[in-house]
Amino acid sequence: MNPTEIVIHVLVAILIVIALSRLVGYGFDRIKQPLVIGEIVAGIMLGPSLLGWLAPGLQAAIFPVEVLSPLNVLSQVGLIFFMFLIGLELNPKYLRGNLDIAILVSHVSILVPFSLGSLLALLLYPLVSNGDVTFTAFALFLGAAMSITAFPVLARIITENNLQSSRLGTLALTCAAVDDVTAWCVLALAIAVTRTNSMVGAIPTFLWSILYITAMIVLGQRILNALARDYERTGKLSQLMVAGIYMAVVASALITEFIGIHFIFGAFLLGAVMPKNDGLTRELAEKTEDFVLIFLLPVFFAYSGLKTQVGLLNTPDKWLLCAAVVGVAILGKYVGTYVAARVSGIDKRESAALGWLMNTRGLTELIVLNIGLELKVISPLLFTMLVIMALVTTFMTSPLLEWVYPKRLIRLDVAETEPEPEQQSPYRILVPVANPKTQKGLLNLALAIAGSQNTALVTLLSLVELQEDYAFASTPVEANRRIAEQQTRLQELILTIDPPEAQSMVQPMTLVSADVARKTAETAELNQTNLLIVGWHRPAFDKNRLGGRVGKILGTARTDVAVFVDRGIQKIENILVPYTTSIHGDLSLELALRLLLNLEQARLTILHVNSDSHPTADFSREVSGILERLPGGVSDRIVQSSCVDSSAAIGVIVERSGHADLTIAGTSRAWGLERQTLGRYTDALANQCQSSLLITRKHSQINSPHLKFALTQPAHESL
Amino acid sequence: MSHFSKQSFLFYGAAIGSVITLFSVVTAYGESKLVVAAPIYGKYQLRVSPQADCPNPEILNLAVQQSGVYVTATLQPESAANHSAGNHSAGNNPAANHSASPNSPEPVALSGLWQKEQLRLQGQGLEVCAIATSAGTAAAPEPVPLRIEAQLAQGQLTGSIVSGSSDRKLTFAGQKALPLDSAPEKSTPSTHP
Repeated sequence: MNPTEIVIHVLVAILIVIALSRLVGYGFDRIKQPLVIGEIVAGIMLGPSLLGWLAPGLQAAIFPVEVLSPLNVLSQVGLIFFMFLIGLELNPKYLRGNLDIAILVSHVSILVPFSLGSLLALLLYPLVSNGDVTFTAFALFLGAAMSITAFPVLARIITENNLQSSRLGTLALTCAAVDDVTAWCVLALAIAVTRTNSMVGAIPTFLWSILYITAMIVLGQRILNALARDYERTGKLSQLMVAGIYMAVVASALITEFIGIHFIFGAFLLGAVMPKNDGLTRELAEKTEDFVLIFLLPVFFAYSGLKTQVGLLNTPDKWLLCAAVVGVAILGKYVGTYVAARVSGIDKRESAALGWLMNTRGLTELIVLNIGLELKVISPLLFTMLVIMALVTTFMTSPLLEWVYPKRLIRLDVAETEPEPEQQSPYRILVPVANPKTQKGLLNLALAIAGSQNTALVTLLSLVELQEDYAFASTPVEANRRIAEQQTRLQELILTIDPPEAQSMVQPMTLVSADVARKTAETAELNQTNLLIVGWHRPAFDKNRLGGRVGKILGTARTDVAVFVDRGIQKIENILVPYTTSIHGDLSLELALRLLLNLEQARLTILHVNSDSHPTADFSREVSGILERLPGGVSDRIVQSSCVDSSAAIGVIVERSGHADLTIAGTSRAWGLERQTLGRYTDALANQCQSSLLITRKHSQINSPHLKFALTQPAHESL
Repeated sequence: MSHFSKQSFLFYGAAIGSVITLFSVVTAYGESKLVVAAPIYGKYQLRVSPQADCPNPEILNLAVQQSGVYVTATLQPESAANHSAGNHSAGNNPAANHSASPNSPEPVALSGLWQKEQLRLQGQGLEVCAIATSAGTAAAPEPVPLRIEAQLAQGQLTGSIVSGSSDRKLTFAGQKALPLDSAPEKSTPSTHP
């Protein structure tokens, strides 16, 4: 192959690697697993374990031997900058609260798996070691591999579960941060011993390492602080500054390699000593991470996958050894963490959750294993076993965390530290708010439906969307900053509510989420929401399909949903309900009646809409019952209009909506309701309706709560 | 427990001390008592002794990948291996030589144990004499069980290949041609279960 052919092959290989890595990554994301696990699996799929097994010719064509060196160089460069990002992410802010407990737990959670790993080495060394290194180096390395906790993956899991402000979350983050630094030190020692093949021989490397770390902390940090000051003065990170920092990363990586540990430590160290100036760190991370995470890291996974040979585990005794490796890793980490946490006074449930969280090994383990294979400390078979262990321990974290510490309990735990909510709040409305500045109308409508009694509570939900797994914006510190920002914006919105007494009915809630629609539906359920009101601003509903998040919320929410199309609503005096006999139509009427009860000046016009299947749009038994119980002052304000036929309905409703402030319509099966859409009738209405529109979709017919309390309360004006 | 209290120092001292003690005992035992399998990984050129019904066997290439006592290998005629030298992939599988030539026999994937200076490998492939001819056969016959038993002494690998139910046996002698790293580009096939 000539150089151009090699470049073409490398580019084709990278193209396939990135595409598959994204695809599998998102697949894993869908099943609530860290994206990075999917990317690692994609790498393994491209290797001999799957593609090479199923289509060896194709694999040979994608990865001819000539592309391996360039891929290796790219993966190493990616690794160096990834380690720099991990170091950059390591913020002293994580070392807060419960530091004593965290240090104890993290140290015990390293010592126990390390000890068990050393004992396991007695079994594994004669069976799977090639004898290229001494037993000491082998045991040290195996112990280090067992002790790893992947701080970045753990941090993402914690953020995604909104645990970063809970006691468990802060404790786990502190433990993982301490673990990370300690484990890298142990690994550096293991590498030094491996390279010199003796403990004594490693002493000079060890001393040089301490000297370099000290120099970086004392001198390096001083230089970098000057850089941060310069950034604060100019407010921007110039290309010259970035070039300087990148050169420093490479130089630091080279120094640690020459010292005799590994490239990655220098890069990590530089990231760790970088001043944690919010703006500088964020901008530098954002400038660096996209190319590293999207382009270079998948290449590392693919290169690593090419070395992972699941096919080597072809006999039961090898699988037994693999099970022993996985078992010791899980047991060591879990027992160490659990016992230390219990001794420190943490309750059983939190200790168990901490034990599973600390078992997350993920990508960090993969980095360690590749170093081990490169130094021949571990053989290909042991490498494969340890990769399986890394995948299993990371994969199990989220489900086990959910098992020992379900989201409803997390919510209760977080709520313990929050101010006490209203004692009487049986009717709950949840209003997801994307941009607080533009959703005043939505909030006013929610307040009008809630009424001014203390028996209702409106929760304004703002979701901070998580970026990719390793993106800096998804780190707990960054997530907390964004949450605080969003909370302030929500508070500002709440302060605009008039009358001010109604402000106490509104509660802001900001959460982190990787999937906004799913989280909204989940929060509605956990919050025991009676009504979820979603704003919809797109000017037209295209092709009978309510796509995007609103459509997804409709499809997943297990509560009654109302979609609000705001056409500049100022007051609610005339309400129009085009009624069809369906549970969704019932909901539209219930909400209209609730508004009527709450707003003394409001009037309601009910327009009966016939359909082919229902010749007359009669009220359902439930609605008839409700109408009978209405106080006279309310029923007097209801006008029941004549029926219209379905074929002419849209035109009539649109025409009537010209005289209304708010039209409330239920989605209807008779009008073409499909899952995740509102139905042709309501879609068309959303396009043509002259007033603001509220489209309702009922989740369940049983025990409708919307008028349960309102009918027992005196009427109030709230809008 | 305060991190800088006497009690915590005592605890950490005891904990770290006991781990270091355990590690010292384990490593002392491991260094003195545990014996690992001698390195056998690499590429071997096997010269098969001619027989009446297999008069002109080619040199066979045996690429051995080792993980302690566990070994995997590929076996194929040297000409087929050379033909595919520019094509082989990073994998550990027959991809390495998959596109050798239309009729050349597939490399045979073997796995087994390397213990007490005895190498025992087994797998499924063509009858041994068919493997030892790069021409192969136009119509692929049913694979038959293959078994290699060999000893390594002073860099010389000597032993026999037994194939099929008839226990047809060819003897060979060979030596290491190239070391075989565990790096992906040089790794050898594994046998999927």
